[in-house]
Amino acid sequence: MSDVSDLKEFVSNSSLSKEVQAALISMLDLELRDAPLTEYASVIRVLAEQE
Amino acid sequence: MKIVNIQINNFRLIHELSLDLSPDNGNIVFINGSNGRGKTTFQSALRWCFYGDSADSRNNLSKFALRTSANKDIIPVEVLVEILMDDQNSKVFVKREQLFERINETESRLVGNPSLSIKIQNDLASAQIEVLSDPEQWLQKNFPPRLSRFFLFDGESMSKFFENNVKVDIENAIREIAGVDLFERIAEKLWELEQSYNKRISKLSGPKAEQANKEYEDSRKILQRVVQELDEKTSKLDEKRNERKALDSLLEDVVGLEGASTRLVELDRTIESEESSLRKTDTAFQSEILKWGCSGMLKDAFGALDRHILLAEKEDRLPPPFDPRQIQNLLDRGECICGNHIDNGSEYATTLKSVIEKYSVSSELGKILDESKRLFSSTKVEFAGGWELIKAKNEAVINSRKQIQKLLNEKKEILEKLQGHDATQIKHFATVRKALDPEIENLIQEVVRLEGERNVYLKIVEKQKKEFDKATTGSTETSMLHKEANYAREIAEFSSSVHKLAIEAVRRKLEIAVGEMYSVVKSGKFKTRITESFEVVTLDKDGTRAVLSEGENMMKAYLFSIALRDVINLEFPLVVDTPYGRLDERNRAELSMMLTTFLSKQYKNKSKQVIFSMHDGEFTPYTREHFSKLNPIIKYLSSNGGEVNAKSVLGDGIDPDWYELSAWRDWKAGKISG
Repeated sequence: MSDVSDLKEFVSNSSLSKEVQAALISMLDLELRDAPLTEYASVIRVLAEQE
Repeated sequence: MKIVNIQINNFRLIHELSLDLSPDNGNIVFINGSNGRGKTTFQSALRWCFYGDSADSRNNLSKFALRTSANKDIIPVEVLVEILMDDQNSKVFVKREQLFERINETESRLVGNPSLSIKIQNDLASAQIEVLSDPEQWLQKNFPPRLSRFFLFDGESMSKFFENNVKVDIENAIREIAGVDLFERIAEKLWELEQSYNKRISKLSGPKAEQANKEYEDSRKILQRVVQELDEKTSKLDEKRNERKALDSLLEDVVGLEGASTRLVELDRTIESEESSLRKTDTAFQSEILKWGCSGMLKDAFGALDRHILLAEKEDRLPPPFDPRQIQNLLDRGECICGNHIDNGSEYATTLKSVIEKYSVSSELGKILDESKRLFSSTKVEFAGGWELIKAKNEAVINSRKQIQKLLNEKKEILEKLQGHDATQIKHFATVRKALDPEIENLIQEVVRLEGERNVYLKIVEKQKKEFDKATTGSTETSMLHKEANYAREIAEFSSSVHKLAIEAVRRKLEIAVGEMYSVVKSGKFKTRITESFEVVTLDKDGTRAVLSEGENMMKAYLFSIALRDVINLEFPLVVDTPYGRLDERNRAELSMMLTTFLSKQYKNKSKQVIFSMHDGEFTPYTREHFSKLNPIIKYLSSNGGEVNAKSVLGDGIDPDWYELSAWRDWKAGKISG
């Protein structure tokens, strides 16, 4: 499960909405490459704009 | 991923070592060597290659580099460990190097920085090789440092594997596998993001909104702290309840025996004291026998005489108890009692003389009989008292013996009941169980208090959020920021709570993997459970906690470490220094049997590897016979260069010096076989 694909699968099987799942999966990648906070904000903005 | 080749240069004791582990060479490797030949160094070299090194051991490394340098005039000395790994699709070359420069005979300094390089050949058909720009990151991802304990270890730590302090390592490993830190870091970033959205909203909306936001944030921080504390206490409460349940189930089987070990100790003490008392009573009894035994014999001897004396007395037939010397006095004086003269030559004098002669014996006898009668009478009285004493002492001896027998019977009965159970352990479990009730009660009270506090703050936070929302302007910009803040909060909440589910999933996977592996060597005898507190518990078929032998316990440690590799899909070899630890002969044989059974079934496809380093006390002819069906590669480390400049070198087979040892001599002579 240390493989991030396992963690992504774990999120995909959660009770979150599909949009939120996709956002969290993107954030796993961001965290793995230690991305700045602004990139997280971009993912959140996309979510908010989709609504 | 399998190790295909290991190259070690100038690493501590090892001057130059090349180990070819290509598939044709088998997958079970025994590196043997007497102490000080470099077995531990071999493992340290692998650790250094994968995990780097601390400053302390770096100093060591440089000293050893100097010592092992073939020619001390050639500087700098290069310490190098290179490992080639491959799977079916790719090859990975991991190389760590460090240069050292000599300062004087004993000191050295680093030259440049340590270098790590990783090259990957992704397509075996092509010669293209990728050189990784961030090799440390690749290593951290593929060989997480928090799991290092389960990759490279020694037998001694294996035997203590499941002691309390290892639970932390197991917890860390499970958290690592479950990606808990990753989710927690995401949650923290999203909380930060939400706060920044709220600040921007409040700035756009004015001082009232700013004040409402401040109050909202403050309450949220308190709520966060309360929830965290509540989580900790709830998890602790669950753990204690499960512990109580397990102990209840365990003690149910041995009901009434929880005090057994205490009683056994008491019994041993009482028996010891009774036996000491018996010895004293017995000595006193014998002393009374000796003391009164003579009187008893006298009593018997005089018994018949007494009867005859009594009879003779009754019939007036006792010899006269007068003293003939009185008659002799009359004769000597020449005067009778009546006053008449006694002529020495007269008939009367002759008669008196014959009376003296006649009764000189019988009168003595009469006196003796008289004395005997008196003596016997007092002896009878004395002996009657002595006899009572003897009887009393004898009774005490008999009673003491009976009491000891009774205690011994009770001890036997307890031991029979305890058969198959460890009395000390039962006592320990009973004590732990007893202490759990008040602990659980306290935790329940804490949880109830914290739940109340949480509910209060949930309402406060909800109310303050509404007030904050109300205080903010309804512009398009604030409305968009509200949406973003809400999403940030929602994902953060999920991310911070997801780790519990992830840990649960990993725990379950590990439980199943260890359980399945144990069934290979123990045919379904045991079940495995990994508790909430990360204790790896082995249960018997009926669900009670199994009491494992030291060999079985060590096997469990091996299986856990192999299961961990399976769960994270990492086929890293099982590299163990002194794999038997400090096991005694019996447990060693048991572990050997379990290991050979397991390895012959699970490692036969050669995709998995085992590298065991053993000293001469471990790799005996018996060990060799145990593992012979696995066709292991046997290598030995020997030393050349004397004690000061010792350098380890690798040879094939068994160290020729070992044939001087009696066991190997016997083996060579065909006296030892499987």
